[in-house]
Amino acid sequence: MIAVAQARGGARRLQFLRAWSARIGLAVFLFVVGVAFLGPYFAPHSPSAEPGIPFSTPSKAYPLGIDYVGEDVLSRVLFGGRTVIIFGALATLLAYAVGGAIGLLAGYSRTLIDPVLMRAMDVLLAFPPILFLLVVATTPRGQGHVALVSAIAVIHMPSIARIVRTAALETSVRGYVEAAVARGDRTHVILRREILPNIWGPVMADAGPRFTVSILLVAAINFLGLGPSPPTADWALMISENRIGITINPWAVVAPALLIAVLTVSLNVVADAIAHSLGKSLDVETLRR
Amino acid sequence: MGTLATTRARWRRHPLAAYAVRRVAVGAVLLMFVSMLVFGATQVLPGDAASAILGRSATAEQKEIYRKELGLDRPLPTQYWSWISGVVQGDLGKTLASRDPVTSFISVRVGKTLVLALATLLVLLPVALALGVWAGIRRDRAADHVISGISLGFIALPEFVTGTLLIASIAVSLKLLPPTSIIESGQSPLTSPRILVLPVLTLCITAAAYIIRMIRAGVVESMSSDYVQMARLNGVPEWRVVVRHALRNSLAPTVQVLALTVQYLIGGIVIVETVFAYPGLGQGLVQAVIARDIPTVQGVAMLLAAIYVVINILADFVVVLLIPKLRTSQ
Amino acid sequence: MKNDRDNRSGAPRERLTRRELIERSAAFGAFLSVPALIAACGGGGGGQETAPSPPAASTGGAPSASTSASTTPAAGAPKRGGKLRVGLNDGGATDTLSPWNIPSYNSDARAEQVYERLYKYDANGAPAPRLAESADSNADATVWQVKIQSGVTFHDGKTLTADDVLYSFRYVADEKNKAESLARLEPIDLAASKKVSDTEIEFHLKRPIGDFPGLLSEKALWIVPDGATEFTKQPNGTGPFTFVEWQPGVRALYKRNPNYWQSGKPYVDEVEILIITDPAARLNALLGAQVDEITFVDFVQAKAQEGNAAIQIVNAAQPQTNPFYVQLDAPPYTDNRIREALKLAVDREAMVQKVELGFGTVGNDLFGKGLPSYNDALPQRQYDPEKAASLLKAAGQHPFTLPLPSSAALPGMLESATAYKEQAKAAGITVQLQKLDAGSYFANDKYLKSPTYQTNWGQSFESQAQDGLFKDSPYNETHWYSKTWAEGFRKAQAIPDADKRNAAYKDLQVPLYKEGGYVVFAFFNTLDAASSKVMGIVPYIASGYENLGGFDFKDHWFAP
Repeated sequence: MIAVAQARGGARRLQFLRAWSARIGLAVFLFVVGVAFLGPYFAPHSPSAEPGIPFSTPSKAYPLGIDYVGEDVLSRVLFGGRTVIIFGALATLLAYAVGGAIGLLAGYSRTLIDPVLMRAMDVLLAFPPILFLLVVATTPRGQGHVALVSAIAVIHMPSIARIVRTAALETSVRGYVEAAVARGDRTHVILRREILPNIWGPVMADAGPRFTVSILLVAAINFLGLGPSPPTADWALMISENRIGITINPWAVVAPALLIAVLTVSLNVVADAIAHSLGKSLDVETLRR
Repeated sequence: MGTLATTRARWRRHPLAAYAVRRVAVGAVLLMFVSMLVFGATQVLPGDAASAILGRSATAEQKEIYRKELGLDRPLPTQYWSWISGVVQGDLGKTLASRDPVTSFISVRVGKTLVLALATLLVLLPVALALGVWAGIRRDRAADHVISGISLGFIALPEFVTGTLLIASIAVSLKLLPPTSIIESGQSPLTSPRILVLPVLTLCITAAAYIIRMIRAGVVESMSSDYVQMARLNGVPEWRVVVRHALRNSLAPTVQVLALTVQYLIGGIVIVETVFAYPGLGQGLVQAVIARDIPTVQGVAMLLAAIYVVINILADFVVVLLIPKLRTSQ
Repeated sequence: MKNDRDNRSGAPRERLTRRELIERSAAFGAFLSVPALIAACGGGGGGQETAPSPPAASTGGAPSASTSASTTPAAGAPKRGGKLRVGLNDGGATDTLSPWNIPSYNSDARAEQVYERLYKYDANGAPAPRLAESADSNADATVWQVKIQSGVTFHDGKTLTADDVLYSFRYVADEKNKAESLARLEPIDLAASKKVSDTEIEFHLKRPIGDFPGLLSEKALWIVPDGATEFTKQPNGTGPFTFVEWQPGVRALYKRNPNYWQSGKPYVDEVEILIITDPAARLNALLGAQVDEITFVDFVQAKAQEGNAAIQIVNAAQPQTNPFYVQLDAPPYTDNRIREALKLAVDREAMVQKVELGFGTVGNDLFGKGLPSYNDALPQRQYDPEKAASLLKAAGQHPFTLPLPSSAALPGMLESATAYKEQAKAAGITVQLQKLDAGSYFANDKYLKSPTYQTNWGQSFESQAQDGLFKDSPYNETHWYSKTWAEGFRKAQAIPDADKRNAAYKDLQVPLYKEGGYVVFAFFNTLDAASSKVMGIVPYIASGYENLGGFDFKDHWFAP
């Protein structure tokens, strides 16, 4: 029975690729991720060497010109994707891990834990995300990487917990779960074997938009000057760092902005297609920032 | 007791009223917890606050006096209690340095932010709704692809990038509009509406993308529903199908979308006001965060969270009004 | 001895300044200066300050303090009228109307319009009389006779007298008023100080202060009317503009004071201060003619606007610098040949041209360049990698590895460290650059502990010395300490005559130049900008809230 369910899931997982838009989206997404992770090997200069006069326009040696401190924009673009993807992904993963756990616990427990956890999630939902990040930034250690990633995870957490809880509630009354309970399987086994695989689809369907929101929140807080300032190149940071010279060498802003846009758009196209193939339209709640 | 009992009875007879009361009560409890979170999160080391205000040569003794004056030496629960009882009575405390009421800090700014928000909604909603419906009706045709594609692109463009690009092109290069939205004394956003154009445009571009996607999804869903198919089979003209069924059934989701848009604006305005130096509540909040002005951060944060919660409640309530069957099922 | 107390009480405030500085510059990308901590005994100026009284020395064609100022010299006679709109780089909820604490540029800019001090540093960094007419000391500089201008009135019509001066000083000295300049008044015995006549005050000091006018120039030593206790409703001073209205963090409006004591001034009818914290927005506002002057433009912004005839860059050669240093007692830096090699391995000219885009000047491993106490007679160190290499070889340390913590905490900091890495290669020096977090750069566990570091100073020699070259200085970064040198410094401080005092200070700089732990390779200028229509802006070379000609908007006027 488990095997059948998994096989069905597997076939369904690739179904979304039937749409041409999804194929292109996936290709573009993989390309940008490739740029981010393999780019450093192709960079013509060190991302922190200072070869030129700040905000020089593109030339043969520096195809995208020079940035605000005199560094090569192209090299920084090639180096700067990793942190964006890693921080965005970390925040999103953390949100899924914690939010998922809370949702499962609430949905499956059928005790007082459920309302307590869900009301706590409601409290967090009452914060506009930017406001939440600003409040966190006032705390003593609120401007570090850890604080930022955790804060973004907390922003996503409540809606993930809600979705997981609903799915867990629905699943837990299905026959195979009740059968497992009757068999005397232990709770964590049931959760892992029966419930998790069956709520995986609806939960992951909006991972794309969440990842987008994570990246944009990192960029926004960096823009306000309240984010961590990584010593290395970073697309989101490049946008805010070089904004001052946008009229002199626009590429220093446009190139990283474009890459973030392409990354998130392609990801959303893929996520859309996955959601579509699962017969589910994107949850509007997740798009909220 | 008697009146209470009859009131209760009346609620029972009016499920809508009962629903409203319950929703408001939940909202109030929610806000109480939010207030605890805001208060707890903003308890920075008080030395910082005192130093930030007293200036660079303040001595340790001066700071200590100041801490006492601010009541920062009292235990946390006591501080929270005096703060929250003030908040309930509309007293948000005093800003750290000037010792002016936080409410007056808010009141000089809130009007400007409201003007910006309303102007944005006024431009945004008709355009975004129309485009969303159009894309939904023309599902999978060229118009849909163009609208959906462009809106998807704009979602991924942060407001400060859009704003910066608009300033660089329209204001600095073409000199068509003022590059910042600073307001001189004796002026207001209404007397010099030119300064509103670029901020409104920036907010619209990002927010429209969200709305279009959401409206489109709603229209697509109702257009593929059984009764629309039925109406078509019955030979009802397409425009009537659209107006009668698709649009009417999109009404409730639209209310939700409106609520979400307003909630989005709360965040978006913080960024846009900073980009354009627009002296509203969002810019004030950022200044307060940078200056570690805790009472102001707490006050503004509570206000914004309250607006957020109230809008949620209103939206839920309107949806219940629009869809009668939800009244009993809630 | 008293200086030691100064230093100790100076510790928390300087640390605060640095933290604030880093936070703010990180937040706004603005150039902030470590305000010149001209402590009680520091500063320039002279003992026999018999003031020349054409008071407004800085109008029109006054001698420009800046070396490379592109300020348009005023053509013809100043014109009256107009509204001056100024974009300031900071401000917010912590602003107050009270002038006694000025934690930000905008709070200083606002206070300068309404209030005045007895002395104020002039464009060249020397104390110039303002409300004072003269200050004369007795032979050992323990009693100072200060004469004030007569016929000066406050905005409410009251005439300025010696009572107002004494009241103001006592107000600052009263701990419960929490005025930030309280510590600076420590050398004055206010109980013994007294009014001699309506226009004369006799200040008694607890110890000799050679540069008393320097002390009187201290930032928040405003003169307010006798008995005033309320400063947050309707500011009342003797200044060139009267207060109209303000909104914290948004704007402040001032009207011309028609009874101002400097005849003909101010020239403009109104001054409006607008808070524009974002550097890009600030410059845009100027370019879009929404404001007439702004504080702080980046090197790149300034460079890009050089050809723009519509605006002028106000280029003030304030002694801001981001030097590297080594600790003199940490091997192998105990060997002066290694220190000399590190100093020769930096291409100072390239630093000015490439990192500062020409908006600066080369350093000679001493602080406070351009100020009266700076020793500019010492030979300029040049980039000489061969000599550096041979020194290292002689010391048995070739090739050499220099670990160097740096950060983007301040403009040009990380950039110069990166450039040094390239330049030092030719001398066989490998710079191991360690990029640290900008926000905590001066508050982490490495600062003052690591034997090498990159730091920032913006002060005069004597002010920096008190903060960083004494055994108990709060920021003795290089572990410089010499008993005889310290004694020499104390002696110099008590000299009432400015020229003699500065000569003594210059002598004290020689051993620092030869053996000190600092590599002060370049100074960067403070850049503001204004519309080309605004005349009379004279760049100030003293640093610390001295933007746009010390915020003396009374001297600015619009070209017809």
